[in-house]
Amino acid sequence: MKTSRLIVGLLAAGLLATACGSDSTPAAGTAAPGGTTAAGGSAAPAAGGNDCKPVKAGVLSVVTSLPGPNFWGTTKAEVDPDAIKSGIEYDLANMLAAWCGLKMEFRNENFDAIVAGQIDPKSYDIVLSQVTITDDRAKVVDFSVPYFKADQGLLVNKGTTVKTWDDVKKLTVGVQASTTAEADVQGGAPGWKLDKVKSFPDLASAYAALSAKTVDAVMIDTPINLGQAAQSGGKEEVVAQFKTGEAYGAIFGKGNGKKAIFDPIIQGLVDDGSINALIAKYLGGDPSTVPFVDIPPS
Amino acid sequence: MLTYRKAATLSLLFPPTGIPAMMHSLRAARLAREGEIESARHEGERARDWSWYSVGFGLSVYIIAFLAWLLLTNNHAVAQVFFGWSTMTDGGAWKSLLKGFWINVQVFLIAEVLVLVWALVVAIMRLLPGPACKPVRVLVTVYVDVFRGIPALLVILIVGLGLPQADVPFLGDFSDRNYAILALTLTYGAYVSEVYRAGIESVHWSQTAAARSLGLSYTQTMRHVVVPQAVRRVIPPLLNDFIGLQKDTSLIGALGVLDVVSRARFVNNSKGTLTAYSMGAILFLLVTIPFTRWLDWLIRRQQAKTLAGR
Amino acid sequence: MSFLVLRDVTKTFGTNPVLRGINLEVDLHQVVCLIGASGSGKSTMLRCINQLETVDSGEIHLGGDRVSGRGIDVDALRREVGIVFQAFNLFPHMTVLENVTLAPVKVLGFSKALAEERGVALLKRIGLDDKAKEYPDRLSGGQQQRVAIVRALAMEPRLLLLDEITSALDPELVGEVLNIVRDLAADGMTMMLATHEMGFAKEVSSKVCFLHEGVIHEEGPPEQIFEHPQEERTRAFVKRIIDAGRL
Repeated sequence: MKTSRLIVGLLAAGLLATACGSDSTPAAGTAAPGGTTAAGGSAAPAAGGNDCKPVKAGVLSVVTSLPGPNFWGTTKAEVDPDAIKSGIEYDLANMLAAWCGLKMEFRNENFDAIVAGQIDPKSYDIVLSQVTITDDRAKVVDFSVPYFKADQGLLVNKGTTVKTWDDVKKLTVGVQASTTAEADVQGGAPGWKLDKVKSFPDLASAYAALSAKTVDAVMIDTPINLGQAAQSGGKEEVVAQFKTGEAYGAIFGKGNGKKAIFDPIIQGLVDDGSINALIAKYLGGDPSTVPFVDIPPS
Repeated sequence: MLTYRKAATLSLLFPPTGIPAMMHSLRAARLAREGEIESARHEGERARDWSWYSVGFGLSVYIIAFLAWLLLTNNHAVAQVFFGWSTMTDGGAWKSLLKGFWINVQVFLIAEVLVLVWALVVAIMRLLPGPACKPVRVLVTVYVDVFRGIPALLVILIVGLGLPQADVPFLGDFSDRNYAILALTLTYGAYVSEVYRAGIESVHWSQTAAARSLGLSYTQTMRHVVVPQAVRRVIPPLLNDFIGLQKDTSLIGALGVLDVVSRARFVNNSKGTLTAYSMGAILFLLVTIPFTRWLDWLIRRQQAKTLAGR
Repeated sequence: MSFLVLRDVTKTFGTNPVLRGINLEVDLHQVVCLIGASGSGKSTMLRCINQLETVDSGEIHLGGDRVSGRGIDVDALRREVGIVFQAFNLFPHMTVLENVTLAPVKVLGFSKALAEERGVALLKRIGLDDKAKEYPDRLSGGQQQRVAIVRALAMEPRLLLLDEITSALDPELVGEVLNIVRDLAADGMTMMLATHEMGFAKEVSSKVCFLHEGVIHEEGPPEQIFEHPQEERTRAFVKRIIDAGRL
């Protein structure tokens, strides 16, 4: 019967696909200049090699949640996640890998799953994904020392005036789901509650909504908004930011000891200005030039 | 009625075919007044035909015009965001999307076959006769209700994140792609099993009576007489469910796998546009449309061979 | 003991008592015709014999073995008892030959070649061997019913039940079907027919049973039932048949 032969054919095709295809191939990163990659695993550290106890021998397994424009891949440059060769966290990952004497490999995971502690700690060493440090998240994952200050910034179409929090309240504000910005404007922080909020599954949709004027503003970490403003050719600007004291941290599996290994080096990179250099290189805008707006306690 | 006056009037909304329609209608009226019924009927039919042309061509033209306006208005805003030229001509973007699309293709090729088999098993279990089989029937009913009731996204997350966490032997070690296949098979298996069940129940009991009367056992009857007839009948609704399955393969992104939709999102973020979503949509259409036409052909062939006693 | 024995068989559907106590004995090679008004229980009785329906009380014995009630190997019973239905019930997705060979291959374990050889021979007997590769929907009603008979015969049953097999046929097709039944009777097949074809019943049966209100009101040789019925109701029924020109 023709149909059963067809089904067998499809099954064969599918199984053949099993043989060929492989999913979530980790992308290999280049070692940062000046470092050598270690041949072996975690035993004797080679030059530049500190014992980072990687889960996969010879490799620093990094997880991120794509897209992360300017942090993983620069906008207008890479269109293929496998071809990422630049970005703040990409460079940072390579620096850490060099320090460990390991090759850098990264893979993509779902952001919700990352911050819910759902990524198997035995499958990665470190997460670098513009994750804001919060107490709730810290209950399920370990955070490193903060490496990136991330007050919330407001991106608007040029010409929108925002001088006070009341001005903000009049706007329809777009946020990305699962971010601290979303949590904040839904009342997560005192005085922050906004009534006209639209939540988008990803940042690109929120920015598209801003261009289409279906939202008046997009709220997310100031440096990220600055990157978008630079790309907008003058049509959009970051008109205000709001102090939250929030910062990004790298994520490690809860209690698996990686925090103790990486904290010193990360702090070192903060202290010696390496990270600031990356920020300047990729974001092109200085967060400190954006005026702060105070939020009155509710 | 003879003159199709109302239809002709309405079809003036699209003058190129509406005017001929109206002219034939008026001519029909005149002929009718003069008593030439045959010719009047003839003219009336021409009026009716032109009215139908109005519907077909008129609708098409107006829809296309609307879409064109939509794309071009507001300084090409929609066109730029959803069909941005620079992104659509970016070979690198297409290559990346195709890499991702290959994952979707693998998932639905394998899942479709598994669903076809699994759903039939479920349907038959649901129809096992006799009081001794009641627990089985209840169990299967619960499975079907639950998996039709939960969003497929939730199933993928629970299966893809939960099973490895719980460190279940064998099931805890699948790749993400296989988790997606498992989740989609469970979800769509529930839907398709209901389709099979309806098909099986639609085979008249007299067929079962005849088969059993020949001494065929319950299993043999199902296998040789009932299920073959049932399956032929349910190919169209099965087809619908499979198109849904093909699109739902994009849920694999929830597990972090870079399928076509996730890669489209990446391209969009890089380029500040939403065009990659349109490109992804084109890739899906390249698969789903031929699939639909091919299955239409299959159905026609089956029905030509064996008209089920109609 | 007779080959087929029904003793005090009752069957009720919901609130409707269709069989109220059937007592009947059929010997080998006998042809028994069941006549009676619609709803008198003819079909139900036949279906009880091969357990398509289960009896509520009473017993049925075939060849000395009990075949009604629980604990019976139903599939084995149905290998012995063939049945042909009013609506033919051929399998539409299989060719004529496949219809005929399906059960011999799957149930009796014949090889496909052997079953086909025998199937073609049977089809030849009824003159339909040229239709072996056709699908049922290409055949006329009479041809389909003849195939249905052959399909039942392919299992070599010891008893053949025929449930109003000509009632759904156009009049000009009835004859070809009845010819086969006539041949089978001449060959000594034990048969039970529920039928409205009174002329045929008179010609071919060893015994005629008139069913009325769930019991066999009168039973006897065809000459008795059709020419000198002893019971009042039988008389009335036969008279109606004759008046309708069907006898």
